[in-house]
Amino acid sequence: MGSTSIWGRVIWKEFRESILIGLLCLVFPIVGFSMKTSTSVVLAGMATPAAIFIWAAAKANVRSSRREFETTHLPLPAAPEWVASFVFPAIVAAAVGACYGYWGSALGNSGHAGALTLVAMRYFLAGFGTIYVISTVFTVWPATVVSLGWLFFAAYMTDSLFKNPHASPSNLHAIIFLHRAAIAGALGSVVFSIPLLKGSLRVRQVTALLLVAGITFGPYVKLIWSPEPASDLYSRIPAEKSSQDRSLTVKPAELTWGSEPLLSYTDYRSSFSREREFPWETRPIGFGRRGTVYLAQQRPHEKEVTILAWDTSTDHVEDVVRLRAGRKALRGFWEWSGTVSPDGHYVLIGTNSQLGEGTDLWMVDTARKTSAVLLANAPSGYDEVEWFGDKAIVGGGKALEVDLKEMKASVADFALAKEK
Amino acid sequence: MRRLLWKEFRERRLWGATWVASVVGVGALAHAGYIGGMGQLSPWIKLPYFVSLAAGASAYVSELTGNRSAFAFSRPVSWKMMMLAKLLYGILIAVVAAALGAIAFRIFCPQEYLAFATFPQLVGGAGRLAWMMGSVYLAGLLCSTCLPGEAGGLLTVIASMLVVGGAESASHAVFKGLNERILGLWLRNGQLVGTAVAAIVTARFGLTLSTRARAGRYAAVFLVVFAGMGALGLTVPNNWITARLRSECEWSSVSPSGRYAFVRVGKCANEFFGLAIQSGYFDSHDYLVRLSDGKTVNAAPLGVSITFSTYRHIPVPGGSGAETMPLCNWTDEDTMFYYSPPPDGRRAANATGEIRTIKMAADGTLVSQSIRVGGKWSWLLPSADGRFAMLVTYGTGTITLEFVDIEGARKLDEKVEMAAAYWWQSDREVGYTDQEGERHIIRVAD
Repeated sequence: MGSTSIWGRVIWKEFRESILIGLLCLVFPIVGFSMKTSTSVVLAGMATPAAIFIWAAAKANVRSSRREFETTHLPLPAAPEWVASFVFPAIVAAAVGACYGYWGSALGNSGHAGALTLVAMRYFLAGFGTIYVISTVFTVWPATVVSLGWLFFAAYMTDSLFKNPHASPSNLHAIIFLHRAAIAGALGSVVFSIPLLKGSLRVRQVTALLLVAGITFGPYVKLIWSPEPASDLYSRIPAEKSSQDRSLTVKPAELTWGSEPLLSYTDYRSSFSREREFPWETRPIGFGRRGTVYLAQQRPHEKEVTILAWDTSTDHVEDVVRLRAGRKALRGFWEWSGTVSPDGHYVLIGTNSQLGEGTDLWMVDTARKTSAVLLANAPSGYDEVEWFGDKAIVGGGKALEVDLKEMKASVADFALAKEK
Repeated sequence: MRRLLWKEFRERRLWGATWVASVVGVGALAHAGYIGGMGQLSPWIKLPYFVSLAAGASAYVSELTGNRSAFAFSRPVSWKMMMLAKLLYGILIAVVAAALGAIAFRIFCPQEYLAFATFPQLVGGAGRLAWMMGSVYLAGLLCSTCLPGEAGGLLTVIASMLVVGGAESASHAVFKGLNERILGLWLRNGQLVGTAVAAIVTARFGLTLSTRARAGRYAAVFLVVFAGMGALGLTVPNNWITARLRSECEWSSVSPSGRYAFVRVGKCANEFFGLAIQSGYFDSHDYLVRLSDGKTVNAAPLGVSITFSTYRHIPVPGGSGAETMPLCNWTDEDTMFYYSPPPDGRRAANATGEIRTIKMAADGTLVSQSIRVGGKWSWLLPSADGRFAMLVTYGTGTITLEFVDIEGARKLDEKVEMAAAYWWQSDREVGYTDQEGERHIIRVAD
């Protein structure tokens, strides 16, 4: 039997072994995404990659155990064997990924079909490649742990990457990460399977692992000492902010590409107006006494959110306080949640929490220039404030009673005496 | 039992170490898992959940390999002791991991959050995390008696989710609203109970059988129990469930005087068994409550669902969905008022939307009035004291202003056309500029 015939048979064997898992994985997204219930979408979202990853780990492990027999008993060179046993299943994984992305977009009505197809294809290729290598080089157990890592990646990125890949600049980094992982998987597999290195098994194991880890995670080593980007607020145009009776307004007067926006303050009652240039990342959050406007600002690569006071009568801008949370950068603020007390003494503003997906409610004492977190990692929506001297009640979610002097908040009890 | 526990630790030490490392790493580096409600927890917390699920799903790997269970049962070991050992292993790892994670969280907690990292908060957070991870581990464990191998348990989890997904989709096609949500709760709990019964049956009678026979037995028991739970969901009245859910304040807004509050109370499922709960609120009701030192002395159900606006400048029709939500606010005299859109919810030139006012009388009853205002205008802008409001209509480059007396429950005769900008000059005076930029002040009430 010639090597061409053997190769053909090996390809046929791979096809036979792959077709079932391929078809099964096509059923998950079609059924799950078309049902559109939360469970079925989670099921389709997680079951398809889980099945492909389990398949990759098991397949690579079986191949490792058979490889010795095949290479000694069959006239099959290492390179064609690699193509048949790695490249062909990888194509199946990519095809499943493409269908997954397409059906997820088309049946889930999320749009962005083309982009999602490509993203899912990359995700499946990256997961398949890295898991295959880990399982070939070591055993199924570490490959299962890596599979969990990839499933976690999908769960973590669900709200952005797998819904609208163009929604956030951070998605671009995620897509580049997927590229790197896919290339790392392919290279790791080549290095381990094709005896380019005349070394012992241990040398090949270490080389393959270093290659995969280095290519995939290498660029992130720099994050250990350099700060992460603060936010992408600069991509948004400053919104208009008015006092509740609309007598005071701050809005962008002029937006010119390449220059900072001009913010315009107008007091309609006295017909006074003032304009000043501010950085793009500056947002008005409220009005104090005697024409003072409070603004929040976080420039790219700044860790803190700065609260500014713009005295429009003298056109003087002063840093009131800088909000920061430890070594990490604050992940942006919610300008709509900014509220200033009628006397301008206190400012409340929400920032994205470092502790989770909730909001930190910050309080700023503008006279003492101090700040404190009133509520950490809370549900967002604390945006409705009634001021009572040294107390405030913040509504919108569960009501908070705030002691303004002590800078402390407690949840007000609204247990009903009798429910009907 | 001690020896069985030791066997578990020895055989699954890698899973245990990975589990503990994931919780400690997430607590120290991502500051996740100890402060905030379930909805606010960092996505990083999913990592320990995944690991605990996989650890649970691999619980019976050893027993289902190489006829080892037959050997184990030839010794003085019962299936109950075997299952208990696996359960205790998971509980112990979950508790130890959560406690070590809490210590790591406290050590690496940023300065600004230290005030919240109190001992009770950390103990509560660790307890909740241990409970959730333990529940997820249990869900994996219950799926691990069916198929052999590390992946076998995970495949069983996926298969049971497929069944639940299919049943939920079928219920989605038939039921809507509260009925669908309550049935979903039954189905998810059915998954848990079904896998539990199937796991006990296979752990008792199936560990020494062939994979095929065991999987068949597991599937049959699971489907019967799951169908039974579904049938219970169809027959048991919804209020049997809602009465057993806890009540929680969803929304609140205190009046400017601090004497009254609008409160939305919803029912929600307890935070247990990650696979069994349904998030969000069931059966919400709105109340107007009178407050005394923060305590409720009287509450009256509004009988209508209201959404509060962030600002007093209330958007009404014409937007994406805003026209279907009655947006509400207060006057300084503790009167709630909101725009009630036309019944069809669409903006139309002759639509008959109205402004409704609600006030609590001394005896705790609600007094309601309505002001017919038509539906063409775009914004409702109350004065600072909320006593009057202007109805703003945007035309092509021009603005029309009309006025209502909220406390008096009537529409006023004044009208401004062709305005360019508008504002409340005082509680009774409105300022506007015309198309030439000329300022005008009008008085809307004496």
